[in-house]
Amino acid sequence: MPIGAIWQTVLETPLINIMVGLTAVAFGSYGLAILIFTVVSRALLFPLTLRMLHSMRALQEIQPQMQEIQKKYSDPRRRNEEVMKLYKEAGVNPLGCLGPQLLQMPIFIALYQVIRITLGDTPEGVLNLSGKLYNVEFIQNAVPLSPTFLGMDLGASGNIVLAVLTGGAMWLQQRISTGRTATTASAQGQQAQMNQMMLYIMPAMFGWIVFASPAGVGLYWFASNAIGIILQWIFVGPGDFTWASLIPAPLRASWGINLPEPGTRRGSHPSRSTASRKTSQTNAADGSGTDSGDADGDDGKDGRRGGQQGSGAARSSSRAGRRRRRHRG
Amino acid sequence: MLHSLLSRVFHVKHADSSPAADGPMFHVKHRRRLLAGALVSVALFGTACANIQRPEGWAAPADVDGDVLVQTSTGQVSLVDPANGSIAWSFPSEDKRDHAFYATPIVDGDVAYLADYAGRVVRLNVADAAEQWAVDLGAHVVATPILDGGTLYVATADGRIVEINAETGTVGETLRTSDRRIWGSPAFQGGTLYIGDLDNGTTVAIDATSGDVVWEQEISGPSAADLLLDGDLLIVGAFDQHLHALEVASGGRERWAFPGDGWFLARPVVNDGVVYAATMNGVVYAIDRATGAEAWSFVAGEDAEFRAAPVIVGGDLIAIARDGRVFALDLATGEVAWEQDATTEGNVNANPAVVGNDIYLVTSRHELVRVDASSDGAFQTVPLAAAGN
Repeated sequence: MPIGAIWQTVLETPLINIMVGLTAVAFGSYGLAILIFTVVSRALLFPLTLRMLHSMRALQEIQPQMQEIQKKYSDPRRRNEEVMKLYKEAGVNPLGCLGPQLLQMPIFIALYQVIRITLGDTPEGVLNLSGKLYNVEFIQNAVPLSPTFLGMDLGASGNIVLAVLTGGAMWLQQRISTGRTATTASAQGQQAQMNQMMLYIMPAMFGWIVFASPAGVGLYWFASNAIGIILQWIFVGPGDFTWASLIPAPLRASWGINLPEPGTRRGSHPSRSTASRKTSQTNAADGSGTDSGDADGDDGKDGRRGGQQGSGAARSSSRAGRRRRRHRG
Repeated sequence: MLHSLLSRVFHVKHADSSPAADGPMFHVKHRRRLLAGALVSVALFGTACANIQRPEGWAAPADVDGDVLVQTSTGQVSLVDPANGSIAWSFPSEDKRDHAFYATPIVDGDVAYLADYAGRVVRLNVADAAEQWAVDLGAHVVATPILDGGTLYVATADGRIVEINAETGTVGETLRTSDRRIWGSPAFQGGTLYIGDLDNGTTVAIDATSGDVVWEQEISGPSAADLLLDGDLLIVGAFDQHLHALEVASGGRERWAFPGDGWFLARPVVNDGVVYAATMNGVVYAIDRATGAEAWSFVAGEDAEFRAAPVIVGGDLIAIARDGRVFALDLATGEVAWEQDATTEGNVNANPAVVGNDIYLVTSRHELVRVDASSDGAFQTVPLAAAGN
């Protein structure tokens, strides 16, 4: 069977019927059906998303130790060995988050096609839906779908509001992620440029894609990003991101708003400080250690972290490692 | 999602402190190139996907004294001599054919009325395609307009019925405004317009003079089919897999609703007290006009789909499947008199035009096919060429 036929039979056609069925359930609102689908799909993928977030967090937690290793070892081979050792100790697989992401991609692409097919932005599109629907009465009776949702035509492209919202959501998610590494990035020009590119060009590019796509796709994308931000905030924490940082610097100055020092972390999990402690101990053992706790920027402002820099932190590190190993297993 | 994936692949987010950033596999310059390439690819993919589907149009051919007025390319209608395929003229010109035609051209004497998908309505001189007037309604037009004397009634996809003076092109009153899409051609009789809608499944009778609603009937399914008025019976094909028969003199009371096996899109045809209708699931039904009882049915086979209206030619019912198969069925029994596979590259979505015993089909690839009903469906693709070539 050709790949195209497999794709249609296994993914596209079932998804078309799911979306049409959801529309019937959602009082005939296709927009609501897209939102329900987004939430349900994110819920189904939550275990994988959680794994990705854990991986992300674990990688972030060992950033100070990474810096120390980079400072300490000039030989790339030796440096790589040390880093791989650190990965192993922390239970981090830098490519571990690829699986869940790759798994989501076919669903995303199929949904893109499904939204185009089900909304039928041309008369031919509406009629072509006929041959793709299961012969179930409530599904058959749900079409044609109304493309209007909150004043938007979900089948029409060129929705500037959704494009801005989606780009903004992507930027925010990226900002929350890269904010943690801003200090270190500034130390290395090329990497800082890369981060800047990720921070601005990706949201701009995806904003453009949403602008050029049917608004229904943009709605899914925006909702999915919003859920992603919430999950990241809950399970990874905002890092050194503050809402005040969104205010332009001159206004902040005139209003007397001070931002935390770069690298200061808020709301992150206690275990984030543990790997640094462990590495510090390791370094001390071989006579070359630095105080990674300070380098980490952990000033103990976060009440949840207070008093956990010692053995409790080490326990957290072990937990993270076990968790990672369990996921891999 | 994708940016996160890319950042993982290229270690961007953590590159400042990751060993991979300095490792032999991913040199920074290479990673930057790869990332830039990936960004461009995704942008191209997204943009390309955003423009996959374009309106093609399904305007039916129209007979002009033996010639055929047909959409020969998307957004361009030509007057064709079917004997040799020579094109007398095309409208609009090649550089202006931006919008497909779904509405069938209306020919009235020496003028023709065209309405394109973008809502531009024009009146042309049939002899030379000279434009006499043009108006822009600012909304999609899918339904074929109705011409009654000096007035053209145009139903738009945004739910309006617009009245246009056929002589001058002056846009008159908007008879009706709603948020329901109108794709099926309205029916007209005795100063009353009958309109179906795609969204709510409501059929409305409107006084064409005053715009007043005469009656409104909510049938159970939305309709994109051309309405058929036969005497006092209005027949509405719907997406609820039913063919509805409404009594126009009784406030639109439903006389019967015939259950089919799929969507009814093709306009039915009535002959001698029998309604012939075809579904998008490939079944042709003969239905008693008075009672709605099934007389016979014909299953065209797997993957058959009827979008084009069935017609009666030479005493047979001619049903044209989307894949180009043409069936001639006995009116009384539904037995196959003959069958031809006039398969071409395109699909048959448009209604056929009948000129004598010839049936003209136009495909989604804008091929013009002539089927001779008197010769068991012998068919020929008319080779189109500009006159003089």
